[in-house]
Amino acid sequence: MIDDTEVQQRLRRSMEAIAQQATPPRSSFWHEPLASPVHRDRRLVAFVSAAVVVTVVAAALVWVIRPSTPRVTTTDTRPSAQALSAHIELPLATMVAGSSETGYLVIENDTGAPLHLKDTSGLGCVPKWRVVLRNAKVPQQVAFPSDCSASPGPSTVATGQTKLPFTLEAAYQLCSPSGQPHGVLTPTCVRNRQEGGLSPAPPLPAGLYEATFSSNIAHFVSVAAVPVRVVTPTSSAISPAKVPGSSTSADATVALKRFLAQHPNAVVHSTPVTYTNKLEIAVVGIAPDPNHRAIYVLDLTNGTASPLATLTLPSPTYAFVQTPPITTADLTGDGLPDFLVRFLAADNAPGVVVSADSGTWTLVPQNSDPTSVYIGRDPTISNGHLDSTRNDCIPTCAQGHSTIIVWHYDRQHNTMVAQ
Amino acid sequence: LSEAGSSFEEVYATRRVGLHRLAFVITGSDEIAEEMVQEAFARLHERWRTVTNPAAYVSRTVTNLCRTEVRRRRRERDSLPRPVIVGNPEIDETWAEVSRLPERQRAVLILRYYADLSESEVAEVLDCRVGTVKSAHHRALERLRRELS
Repeated sequence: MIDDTEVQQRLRRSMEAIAQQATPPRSSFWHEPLASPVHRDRRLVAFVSAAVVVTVVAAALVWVIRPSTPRVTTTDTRPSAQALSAHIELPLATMVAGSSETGYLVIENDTGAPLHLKDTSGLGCVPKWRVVLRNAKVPQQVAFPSDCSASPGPSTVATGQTKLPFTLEAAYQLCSPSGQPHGVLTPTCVRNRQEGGLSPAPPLPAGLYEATFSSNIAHFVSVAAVPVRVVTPTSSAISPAKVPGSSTSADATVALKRFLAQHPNAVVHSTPVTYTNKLEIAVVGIAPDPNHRAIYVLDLTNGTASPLATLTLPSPTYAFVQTPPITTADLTGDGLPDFLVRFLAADNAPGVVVSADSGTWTLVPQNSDPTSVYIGRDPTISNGHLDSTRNDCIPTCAQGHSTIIVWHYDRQHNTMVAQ
Repeated sequence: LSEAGSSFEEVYATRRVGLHRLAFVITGSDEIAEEMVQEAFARLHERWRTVTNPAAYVSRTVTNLCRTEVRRRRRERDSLPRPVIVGNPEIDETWAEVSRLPERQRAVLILRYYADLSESEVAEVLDCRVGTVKSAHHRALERLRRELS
């Protein structure tokens, strides 16, 4: 029986975690409502773009799509959200870093009249737009030249459906040719891509991104971002000597057996794996008493077992799952093995990821809270990726509807993130 | 929370994201949250000259708009967003139980434990007596303690 204090602590943790799931719109400045309520458009979306000529000048630009013959009714004079919509279509939800794909901006114009697009630069240019990948780690801004050149969009959108193609690149939008990176947004240019490549900028790091529409025109409907996963081409190309689970020396196996024999509270373990060319390791789950659990990372090199790290599991205390045993895969994309250790909870088998990607052996958390290490529900390693199920718990978790979710590793924050 | 001297744009810029998260916790939907926050700021904009504490006003408005929207959807059997799942068993199970609480009890818990309001402040936001907040709070904790044990 838990007490009120525990309930209150759970509530605080839960609400903070739930709030972090929110995605506030990027617009950060206020659009004053027009005088007449019927003209008030609460769905205006503002995009902050950077205009680049020699220097990058940040500019807040608004996209306005107005019908050439506005529909006049007794209640409204603007196209309704239902009458005008736009969305992004992508053939692939997963892209290899540095690659590109052709997507479409699909505009549904049911206003009954063509839409004349205008930009608000004041130069009379036809509007420009782009779709780029970005996330919190790589918050790329779209750069539009301040003159009237460079890949303008259409000036008129006919009634019905219009599909406008665009190229989406899994690469940075800007880079520094001088070889002096100026931060995350301007990495050093890749010289060997300049001649025949799509962009001289280097590929994006692996991770979960959003294909995000930006423009120097504004409209009455927002264009929802589309999630895209970027994977590194080398993530599955680990050298044979480092393949997780590859055969180890007989000495390593003997060392692990000897350790297990000497530690009866070791209840589950991985097979010995070659971590680097010179290091053989195994991960062991330890249950010293009913209220504590720990994970040892053992160095088995040279036929002896010595702890590289001791990782104490946070509460609540779960029993280790013994079958299947601790499993191994490169879950962080660094080419080195990571480990999945699973537990028995009330109605599922949550797991923790053990990795040294951050430089030290850790239980990889899901956010800045280092105790948020338990990944639910029922995580498994599938094709080198970590999958788990999500249960809507309606009407109860036992009867709820489950879907598969894929986890990826956020190297900047050293966290596991659900896709 | 008084922000005397702040411009409307400053209140909007500093409060928008936090209020969106509060609205998301109450409604479980980014779309509804965005709509309610925009509506609250629109109302604040119309009453700007007469509102003495803009931050408190807009917080109260967001909370009540979200509660009204949740009640309306339940009443009209409109689609309510499913409870948010974060993948952490403890959090998901706790939140699933919170989602089953009566609407007023949920609001009290969210304002107490997410917005960190006192019971009297919660009573002010919900426009009810402090005793009502206390009893709703007590019943909610009792039910969660029972269900989560």
